[in-house]
Amino acid sequence: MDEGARLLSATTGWWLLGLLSLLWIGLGVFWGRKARSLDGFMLAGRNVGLALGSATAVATWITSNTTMLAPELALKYGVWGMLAYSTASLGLFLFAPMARRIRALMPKGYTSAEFMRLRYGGTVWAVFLAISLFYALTWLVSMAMAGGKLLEALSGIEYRFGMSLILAVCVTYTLIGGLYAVIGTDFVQSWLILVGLVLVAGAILLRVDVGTIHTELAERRPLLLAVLLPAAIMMFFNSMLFGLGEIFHSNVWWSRAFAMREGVGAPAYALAGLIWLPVPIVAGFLGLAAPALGINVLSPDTAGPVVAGTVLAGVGTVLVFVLVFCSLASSIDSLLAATSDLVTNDVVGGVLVRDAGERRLRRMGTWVIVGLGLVTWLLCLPNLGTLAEVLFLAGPLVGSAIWPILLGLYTRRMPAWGALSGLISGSALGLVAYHVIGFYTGALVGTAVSFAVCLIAYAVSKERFDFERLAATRLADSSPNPSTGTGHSR
Amino acid sequence: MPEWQPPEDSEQPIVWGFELQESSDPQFEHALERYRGPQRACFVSGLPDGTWFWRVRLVALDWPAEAGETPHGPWSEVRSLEVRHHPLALAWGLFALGAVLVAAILVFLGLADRRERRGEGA
Repeated sequence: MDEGARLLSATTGWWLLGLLSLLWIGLGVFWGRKARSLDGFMLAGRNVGLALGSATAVATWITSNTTMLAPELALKYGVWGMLAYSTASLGLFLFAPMARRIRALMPKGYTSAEFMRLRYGGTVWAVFLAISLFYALTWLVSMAMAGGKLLEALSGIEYRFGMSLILAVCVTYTLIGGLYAVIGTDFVQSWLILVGLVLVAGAILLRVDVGTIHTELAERRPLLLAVLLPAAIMMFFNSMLFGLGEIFHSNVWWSRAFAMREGVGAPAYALAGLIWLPVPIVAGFLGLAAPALGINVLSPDTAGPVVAGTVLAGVGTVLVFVLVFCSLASSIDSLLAATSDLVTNDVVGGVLVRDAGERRLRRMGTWVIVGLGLVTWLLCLPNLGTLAEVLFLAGPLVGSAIWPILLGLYTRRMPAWGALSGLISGSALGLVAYHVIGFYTGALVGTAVSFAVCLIAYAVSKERFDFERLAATRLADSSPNPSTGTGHSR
Repeated sequence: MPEWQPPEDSEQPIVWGFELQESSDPQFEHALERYRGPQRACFVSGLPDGTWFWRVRLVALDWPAEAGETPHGPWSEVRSLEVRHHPLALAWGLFALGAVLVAAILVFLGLADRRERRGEGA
């Protein structure tokens, strides 16, 4: 068996793409009817319950990286690589108590950058915003590019058409329904992804047993089973810290903490972590199974879908197509919504049009989503193929944000200069490690340096921050009543 | 990733493909068949330290066993690659550093959350 052959005809691919696009836009319109106020559009009325809350966290965290990178890491770094990826679930578990704290301290908050501005001031806010936007844009671009590549690999639909359509669909329903539409579609997508993965793994286990896979690997690729593969050993905690940095700092997760009803955030994130934990192990298993199944993988980043599609054939390939589309759409829509919130609230409302009221920001938010979609499309169009590496570059940056956020959220003593020094020194030295040793050390070194710097700043600081100041968000006075979801303009 | 090209005069009535052999010995004393099929590349991973050698040749695909020896072309020139992993001391050092960092985050968040639940503030 070989990777070269298409698993679906382009005609079937276009039909599936059309049907799924109509479904998501239809559901987006249906769920987005309530997204009239700024709170409704950006934060789904701050009234999201446990089922929708945990489902949106699971669907968002199952990205194309989970379906592509987990099998790739298993194929390159073996069992360690597969387990290393699954440790990213720790971020969801640990964000559970943070979500409760964030909701309590900032009941009318909108973004993670807003927290940094109120807690540490303008300079830290600017650095943090730059890190956040860099991370969000590279993630967004890598997702849209992955969409185009995967659809081409599975069905032969040309890259630029597949990428453009996925992006256009996500922009459309996010534009119409804001976070209401994103969370609603995430709920359906999470179910489709989880059921699809269980069926795929079950079908593969019926075709080839674990003993055969082990024997094949032991004979032909012994280090993939070895405990002592150095790159994989280094990657283990690096992946974990990258995941923690991503979740702790990104507005994708903060906006959901603001959007969930009081008392829902902590159990929703813990439940999401539990549901997400086995997903990369199942996906990674596909990568390890490739040699035993005799599938010649040309490009390791498409190993998962190609192995699943080849083994299942027929209806199974339709299932893989749906699974891939759902995992991409659930991440792209969340990124569009959360990043546009950052730009609308912190850049447009915070810098460009400081006196903008809620209604005006709501209107601007839609233009920001369109602009963000357009920028992403332009960056994806040349299909440069190196953006996955650029996403890894964000590892040191997000790792360096872990301790400034933790100490700022829970302690009164952490000073702004300490947070700034931690962010800058951690990012810089993490990037050095990334280039000198390897991509699998960037987040680890970035976190370590930032931790040391922040610890020193905390120890020598005499500051006593007043947490009441965090409640004074820019739109706090004009925010709607969370229980009714209605608002008024300033 | 080893890659190869088909010969220009390979328009034969039988279906030709490629056989890729891998060995840690330049004479291919103990060789493994890494790939057999129509593709022109193969992704390789999971090899221990050392110098590894590959060679490729044209073979008839789906050749029936009862038809005798599978027709094949001559072996290509040998290509080699040196695999050198990072030192284990560096790997375990960074592993230990990662363990300490994650433990610090877990302890900090656990204590902070307990204080918050008790209503003690920070």
